[in-house]
Amino acid sequence: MDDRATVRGSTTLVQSLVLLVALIVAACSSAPGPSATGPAASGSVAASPAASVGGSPDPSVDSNAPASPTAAAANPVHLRILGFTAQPEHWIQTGELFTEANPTITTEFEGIPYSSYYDKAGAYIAANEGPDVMMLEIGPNLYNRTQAVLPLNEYFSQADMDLYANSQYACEGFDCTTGDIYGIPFIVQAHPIYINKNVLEEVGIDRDFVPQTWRELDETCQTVKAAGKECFALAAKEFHSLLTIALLGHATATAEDAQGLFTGDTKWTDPPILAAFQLFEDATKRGWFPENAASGAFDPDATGMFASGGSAFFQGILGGGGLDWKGTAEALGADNVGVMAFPKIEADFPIDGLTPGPFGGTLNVQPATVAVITKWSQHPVEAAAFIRFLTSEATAKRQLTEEGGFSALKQLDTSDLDLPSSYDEAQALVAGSQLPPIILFGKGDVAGVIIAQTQLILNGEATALEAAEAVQQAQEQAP
Amino acid sequence: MFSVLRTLSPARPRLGRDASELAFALLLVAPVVALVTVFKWVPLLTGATVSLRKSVGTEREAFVGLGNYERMFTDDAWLAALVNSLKGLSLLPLFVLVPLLLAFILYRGIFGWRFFRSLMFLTSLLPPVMVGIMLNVILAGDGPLNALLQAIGLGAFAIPWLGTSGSAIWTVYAIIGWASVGLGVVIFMAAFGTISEELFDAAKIDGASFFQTFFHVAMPMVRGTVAFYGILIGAALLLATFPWVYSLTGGGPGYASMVPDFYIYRIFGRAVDPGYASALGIILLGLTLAVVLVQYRFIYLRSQEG
Repeated sequence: MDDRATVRGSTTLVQSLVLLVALIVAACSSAPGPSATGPAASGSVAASPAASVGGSPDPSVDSNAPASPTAAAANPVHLRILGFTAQPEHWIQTGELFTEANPTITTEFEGIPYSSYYDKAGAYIAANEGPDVMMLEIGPNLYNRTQAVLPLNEYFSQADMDLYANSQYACEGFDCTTGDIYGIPFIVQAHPIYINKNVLEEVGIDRDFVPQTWRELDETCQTVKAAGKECFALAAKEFHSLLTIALLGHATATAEDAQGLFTGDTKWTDPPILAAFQLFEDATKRGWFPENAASGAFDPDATGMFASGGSAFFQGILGGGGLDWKGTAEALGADNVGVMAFPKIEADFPIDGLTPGPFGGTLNVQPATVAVITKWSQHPVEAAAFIRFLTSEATAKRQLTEEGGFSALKQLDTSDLDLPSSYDEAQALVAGSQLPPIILFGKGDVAGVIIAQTQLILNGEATALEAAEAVQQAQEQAP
Repeated sequence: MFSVLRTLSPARPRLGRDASELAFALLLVAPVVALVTVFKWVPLLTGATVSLRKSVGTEREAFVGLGNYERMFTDDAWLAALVNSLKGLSLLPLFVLVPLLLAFILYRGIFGWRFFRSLMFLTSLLPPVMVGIMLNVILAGDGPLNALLQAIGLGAFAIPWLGTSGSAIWTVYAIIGWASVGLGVVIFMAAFGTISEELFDAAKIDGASFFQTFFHVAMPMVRGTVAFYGILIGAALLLATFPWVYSLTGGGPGYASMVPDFYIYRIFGRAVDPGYASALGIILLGLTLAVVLVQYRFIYLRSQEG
């Protein structure tokens, strides 16, 4: 009996050993191995005009030119691109056009909705592997992630950066000649206020009226509210109120004030910056925002309210999908949309002691989205070639017509494109802008704290000073 | 502490002296041990190490010792999250009692009890994100719930349930309670099924009312299950509120509905501060362990006595 039990036990032991070994082998074989292609094999791409290091800064140079014959003989390279977009078709087509110009390089685009984009990007960064090219927004979203970004000084020059508006903010220390170039801007962003001209007309205001002062805006808002509509469509649950603070920061701050936030020379509680929260508080008290603004969602609460004629004003984004210059024109009709920035404040109005700054009434334009190469990418040369293609004039024009957006290129001739008047109005505001939004200089969780504090201001549970103090604390605690 | 650990450890099975039996037993548990080590202990130890570091500029790590732990004492958002967790734990008796009572009602065989049981369990199967999107509309200031309240003369209660600081977190916990009641009902109904029907017959003969039968006959007989379910829900309230807060309130307004796991996600994913996020995670783990140990020692084990 004991012998049979021992034999059975031994047989079972052997079978279990075999199973365990099989499991281990299966686990090991599924682990990804190193890429077969490397910089050496992809070096031939550098010979193509499209990817030359420090290549021509002239935007008229056709970066769609096919690669050199030697590139075709190189090992094939597959690039992974991560971006946030509601319209991945444009990006997929961009990749296909790039492959036509560079036959040995294929691309794979992973589009993530903006609301969850940084969760996905964060996961890749934590794992130190993932896409070769990522989109990051200038500001905390980029500056908090520079440890995952490959400096591009080897592939792009100051001359390249000079093609793009406010490109210094894509570089370390805001200086592309001495600091690392983190990424290449290809979309500018701003937070203009869109006007529903039909609503103005309904409430008895000239449909082409654009408030030029804070007082005029208040009078307009009171007239709109008296007619039973909301003044601004604002929903602060996510990021909407952050845009409002960003634009209000233009009322009193100078460029030194704003940049001082990043270096620590300026505090969020200093008067020129505090004014943004004070003006937000003032607008709240005057009833400019809906009653439930603190808990509403940007989409569909705010966007739906504006698109359905429930409000006269809506603070959106310049370009990139949704209710931007293109989306508002499509939703309301091109002739029914106006564009403006927050009007200038006056001395001692609406806040006693408040002094108007040099950029009051202008738009806060930033080189919003940059394309970066990740540090773990095994194909930086090819990735740089793709970025150069992405930021070219041809791609910019195609993006304008297909996805909306707003190119970062300073000189882009759009006369041959059939764009609505809202684009021209936005373009005029962009051309006159000199100061990026103050939120660009926040660190760590500053953006999240600003959103939380504006919710409290909307509910009357915090003052402007308390909000600014909380934001300053977050700035100081940031890595 | 060691006495507690001894109390926690189940009686060790007696292993045969045969070395092959021992090796065989170890071999059987090896895969699970490996999985637990790789997916639990290694990340835990890594997180503890990362919690002592801080990203500085483009440098990934700089040793800061307990600096991340000191920071949380002045972090208003984290402190608010802990207070909200305490609020949730204060509702634990309700989270247990309500499904227990509902399960007893169904167990006693009301008409259509199978239908009601299935209906209640259905809520447990709904994805939190889907529920969040749906309830954001229903509970809005101008949503259907408030419209109903106003229609029936209760307009004073028509508030933005998820948008008011005083009500946001309680509304979130009410939703969590609603979503989890079905699971509790199913568990407790199964527990009631182990009770001898003679006990209920005896209570009926003695003239016990419904609630007397519930409190003095049914509950004592399932106290082990009640204690276990309480541990489960207690841990979930500390560690598993993220999807609800993410979809319902985003932690707002302000920090009114902030919870620890959602805040850790925000610090790690958006502020990109893995050192501080890891420190918060270690503290949250410690708090959860403390709560579970207290429940186990003073409630569950006592329920097993006698």
